[in-house]
Amino acid sequence: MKKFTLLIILAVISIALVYSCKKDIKQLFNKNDIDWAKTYYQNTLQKSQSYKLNSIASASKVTSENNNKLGNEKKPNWAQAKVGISPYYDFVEIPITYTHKISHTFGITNNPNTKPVVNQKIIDASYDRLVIYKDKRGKINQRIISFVPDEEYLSKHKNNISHNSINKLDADFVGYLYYKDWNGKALFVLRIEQGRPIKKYNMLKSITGQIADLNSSKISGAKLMVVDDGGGNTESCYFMTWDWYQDCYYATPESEFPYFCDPVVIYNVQYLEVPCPNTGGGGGGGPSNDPSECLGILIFETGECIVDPISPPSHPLDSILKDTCLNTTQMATLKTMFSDYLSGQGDNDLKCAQMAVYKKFLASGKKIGVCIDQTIDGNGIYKPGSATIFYKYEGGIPVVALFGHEFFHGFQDSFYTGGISQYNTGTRTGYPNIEFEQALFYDIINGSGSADAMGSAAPDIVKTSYQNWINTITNNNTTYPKQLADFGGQYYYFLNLFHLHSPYANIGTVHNNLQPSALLYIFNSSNCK
Amino acid sequence: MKTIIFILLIGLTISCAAQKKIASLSDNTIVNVATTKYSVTIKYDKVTLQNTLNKLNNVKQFSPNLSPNIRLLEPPYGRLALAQLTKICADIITINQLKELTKLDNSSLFISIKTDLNGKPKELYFYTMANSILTINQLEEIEKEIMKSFSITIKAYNAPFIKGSNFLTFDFNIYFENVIKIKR
Repeated sequence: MKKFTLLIILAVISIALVYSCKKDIKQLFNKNDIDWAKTYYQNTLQKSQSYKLNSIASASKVTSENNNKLGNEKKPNWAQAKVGISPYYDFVEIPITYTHKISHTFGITNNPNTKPVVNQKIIDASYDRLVIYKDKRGKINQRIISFVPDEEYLSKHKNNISHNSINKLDADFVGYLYYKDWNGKALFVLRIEQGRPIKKYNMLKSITGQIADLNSSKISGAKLMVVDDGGGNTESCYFMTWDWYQDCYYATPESEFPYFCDPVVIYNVQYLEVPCPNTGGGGGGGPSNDPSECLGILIFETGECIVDPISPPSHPLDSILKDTCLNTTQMATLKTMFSDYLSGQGDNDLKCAQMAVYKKFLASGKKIGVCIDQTIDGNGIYKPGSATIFYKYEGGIPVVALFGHEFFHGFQDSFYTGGISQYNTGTRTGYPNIEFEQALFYDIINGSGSADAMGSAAPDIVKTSYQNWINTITNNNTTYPKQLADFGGQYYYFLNLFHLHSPYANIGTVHNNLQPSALLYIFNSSNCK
Repeated sequence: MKTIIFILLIGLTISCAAQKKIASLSDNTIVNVATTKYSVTIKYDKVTLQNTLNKLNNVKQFSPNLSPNIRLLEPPYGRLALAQLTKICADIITINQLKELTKLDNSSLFISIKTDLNGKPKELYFYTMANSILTINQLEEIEKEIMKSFSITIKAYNAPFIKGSNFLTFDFNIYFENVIKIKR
């Protein structure tokens, strides 16, 4: 009896252990790790044209009988998604099924019109994975990769190779990986032997074959690949891709493999002229290893090794910069300064806010020029007409605060309908508003304790009242105002004081209806504080 | 004996004056602290206290190469300077005083500092609430510490712009609410 109780306790502990381990396995990656891929899927792939079968087989069973089935919906199973990382990409691999199962077989032949021989075991064991990948610059793309085993390897693994994933192939994997894009466009095929890529076939150069006759006779058989040594031009060989179609039935929507499929029907043939194998082919049609090729399974874009994987990323300034009169040295200084601007010089609040200004400006599609003009008043100026920042001297280029000031005007120019030149003509009504908005933006980020928009010559009572107001509207520098009401009804009061005391904005006229909408937009949309 | 009593009385007088609260000071007076004299100017509810040795108060600041739209104290360095000053105040003002001071809205000590072109203080003055419970002795301690250990980071790339300036002015408002945070 005691033994029995002990066994039950042991069983319970074992089950608990298995469940707890299962939970750990499931939580190996953070949900957020796949969010970017899911977002891309929802925003880009789901909205793109649905995958269609190539309707080249005009006389085939597929097109004649199942015309309504040509739309082949793809169903990624996100619950089984796996994250991965390579030197070039972060990626997510997701099992994918179709309304109608599409499978591929491959072979080397001397005659592109060779009738293929289907191997049902191979087709049944093949599967597709959707891979969504992001390069180091954040550019996202996708591939659908078909895993197709050779028969011998498949037999060794009891007709099931589904444990293979794109970054973890069996060391003895022999077969093909077929890379397509979301719309089914064939890109390339990698021949895999002993888990490593040994040959790439560029399917973009492939030719579509004739299949009218192929479905007219029985095409089932035991062999996987065909190497037709007889007939045709024996000096030429062809890498063949046969695409098979079948209706399949799944136990649940999440099942990766069906419990029953109708017989396969061939619906597409592609071939590519290749050098003939030295041994005359056979053995699954695998080509010999070409040592001159450098291939990579995880280089989803091309399948080929990238000698210089990531070309130097373009500088963020390049995306917003238009014509410039700066020389090479001055441009280098400008870029260094701009990097400091985006990094906030080590200050996270500044980094967040200035990055937001940059991103909003970038999103506007506007460009900004940078130039030197010794005739300007002051050390720097933003001219809305030409959308250009002018420095008086080269020495102004590295000054982050000077750029920050003028670039904010550039942002205002892109933000306000009609630009900001309208506030700098005639009576210059609104000019103090534009300047105060800029000064207030930086004083809010800087914090009340050193807010200095009023200028050092203003009376202490004005300076301290302004600092106290900043302190109040930012709740002691813990939040940013996000709507006009957050200024406590005193925005125009301090704007008028600024107009009175500022050493550079004591001109023009205060515009009583021009709100600091550009500033509020940045604080509202950036979620910095 | 008379001499000793006389010296003690003088010492006691100076000591009492130094412990005088700002709230007890009168407008347009000079108040003696151990080694410093402060002029007191009261306007409305605010008081300005400055070392009588200050020389730049009536000197107009000029920077021939600096246009006013350049902030010499870029935000990271402004915040750094403010943090230094807040720490100095935290070392000198007691927790009980701070608790008392923070009961008032926007309760702060405004310090206007004039520096040389390297950011080293030349002189300063205080501007705060006329009813402050801080003592004149504490202000002297703060001033001495600022003159001794405080400096403002001015980036090298600003050197061409401040060239030719007679001095630079930086204004800071030390909020007691933030001082008390450091104290805790």
